[in-house]
Amino acid sequence: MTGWMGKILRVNLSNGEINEETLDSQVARDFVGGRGLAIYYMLKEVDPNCDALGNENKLVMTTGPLTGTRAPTGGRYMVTTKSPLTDAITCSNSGGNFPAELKKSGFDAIIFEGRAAEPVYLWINDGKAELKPAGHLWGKDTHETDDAIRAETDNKAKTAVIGPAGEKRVLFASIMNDRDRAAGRAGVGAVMGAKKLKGVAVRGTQKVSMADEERFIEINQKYRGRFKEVKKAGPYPLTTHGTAITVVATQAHGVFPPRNFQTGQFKEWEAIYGEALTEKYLVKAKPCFSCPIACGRVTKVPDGPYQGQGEGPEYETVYSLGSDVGVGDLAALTKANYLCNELGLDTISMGSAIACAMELYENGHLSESDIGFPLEWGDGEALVKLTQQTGMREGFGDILAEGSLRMATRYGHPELAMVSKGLDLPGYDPRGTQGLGLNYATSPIGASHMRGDLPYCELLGVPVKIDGLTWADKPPIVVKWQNVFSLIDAAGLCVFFSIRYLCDPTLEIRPEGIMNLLNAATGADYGLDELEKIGDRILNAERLFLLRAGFDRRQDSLPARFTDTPMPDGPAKGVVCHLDEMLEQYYQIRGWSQDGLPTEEKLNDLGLAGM
Amino acid sequence: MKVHVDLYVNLKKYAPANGSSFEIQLESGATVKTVLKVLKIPANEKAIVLVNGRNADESNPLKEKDTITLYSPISGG
Repeated sequence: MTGWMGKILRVNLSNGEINEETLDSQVARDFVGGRGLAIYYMLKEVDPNCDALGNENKLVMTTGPLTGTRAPTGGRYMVTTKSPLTDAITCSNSGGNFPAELKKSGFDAIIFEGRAAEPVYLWINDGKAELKPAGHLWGKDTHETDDAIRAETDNKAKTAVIGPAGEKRVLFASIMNDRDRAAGRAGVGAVMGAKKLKGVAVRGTQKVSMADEERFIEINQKYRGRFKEVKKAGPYPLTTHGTAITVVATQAHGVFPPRNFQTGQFKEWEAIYGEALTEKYLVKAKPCFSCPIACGRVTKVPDGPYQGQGEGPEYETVYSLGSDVGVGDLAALTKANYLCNELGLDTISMGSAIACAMELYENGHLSESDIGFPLEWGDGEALVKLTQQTGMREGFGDILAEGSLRMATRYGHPELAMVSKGLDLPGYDPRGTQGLGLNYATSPIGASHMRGDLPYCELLGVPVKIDGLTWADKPPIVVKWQNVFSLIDAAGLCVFFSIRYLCDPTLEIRPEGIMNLLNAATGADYGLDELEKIGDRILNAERLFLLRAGFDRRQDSLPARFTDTPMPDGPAKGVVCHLDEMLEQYYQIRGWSQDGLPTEEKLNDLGLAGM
Repeated sequence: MKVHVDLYVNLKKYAPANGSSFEIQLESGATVKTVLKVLKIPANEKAIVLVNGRNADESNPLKEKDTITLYSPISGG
């Protein structure tokens, strides 16, 4: 095989057995890799009704055929498991250098099963894998763990580890790789903690072989050239200011969520957006493996009560630990971001849970005696304190650690949790981004912006600008975009480059560049229709897992705040998200019944009937 | 008529003195294109255009107190 390494590592944590398996070439062709390969194994091997934190659940780390190659942004991997936060399937994507190193260590994927009796970490040194004791690392934060594991193995090793939050099964604990990159969403770190797996360290010097090396180099230069041309015309916003520059667009459209999405504009936005970060705390931009953009931020808060250094904040964090909790103090939210990275917490769900608690407190459903101190909107000190408490499951943090929906239900007001399928919303109000509203509700993992990112066209003007307030035109766009995003996640690429430079610059986003790179790498001779169908197959396979876990149309939903309460002010004033109307058309286009079930014919067409 | 203009990201460089959020005086019948001309924003400078936070293009007519927002395409969030 070329492009693929052709090997899967299976690690049974219960008995310590480690086995290599051959990657089936037909499975590789049909599911590509990354998110696709992972759902193939999850559907085949995991009972969707299992306890997410029990022995039966598996944790699958997958790369794609373009991971570890010089393809632009060819440095992503996917972590897939049943989520303890949502009980749905979840897959969480991350970049950095760990994914490429994992691939170059000789494996396309690792499947973890069972549970270790005592803490362990997995060490893969160029194809040789062993489990090593990690009792001495238990309790350490993610940075300390990275330091210790590299000292014990190889200083050049790359790691993916959990912090105290994963060990203590905080339901939205992340897996941090390369210290500050996160597979953050829906509690993948809690599953790792439940398995007593502290980390994975990899060292790899193997080359990802190419079916047609010359052609790969030629087209790689062509696509990188497209980016260079745009960059030549003026500073590239993502490189200069990171993803937090996106606030400009969300605030202008009135979809930048303040105070648990109560309105659509945050009056202190200029204090926390990308340019403020650049001016005050940016040390340098940091790229992931093979990425020409470099949107990562190395930052330092030099003095004051929130002094510290690390990476971030990105856009989603500026929303979740900033506007959503009413905090306009960039130092405080940056400090809370550093703590999330070190403790191993998803910044989106952390901020969203605190925002939910603040609204419960505002309405008198939570009291000072419940929390231990007052919890007013905009209190940066409380934000930092609660983040620390959550990561350690101390004090009120033990309740926040269960996530916003469980907490809001406990205090009698589940409607105040801003979630879909139990997963907290990213930072775009779906009343002003109708297509994204449909996306949130139908994303297999719950409210994710990375499963068909409509803000690109509804807010950011990439590849073209459309109106975020219209809804009748959105279902066909959402279906197409969800399919292509599945493909990007399967190939091992980052959406930031792929959407703008590897896809047709229309709403069709036909993935010609991805096809060309995949074909040169794998020799699979994929066609465009076939690749779009693979995206569709991945989505439907994930849907099957969800349905078997007990989900149906009722969970393809949004909080009533978005569907029943018109936006109170700003450019989207008076608008609700027309989810039900969009869903009907969405199901039709997908080939699903109005109950949200894929038809027999659809499953046959996608080759999923037997799964 | 007087309209408000907000310039962001790479469009900031076309602001007159005193910041990138400002008011300008236009003749009645002006459109977004008039604003681009007054500010000397070249045709090859890619800009996303909003009027009062709503999607708009160059031909969009303007009225008293409108807010015109212009920013560069941003790929990511």
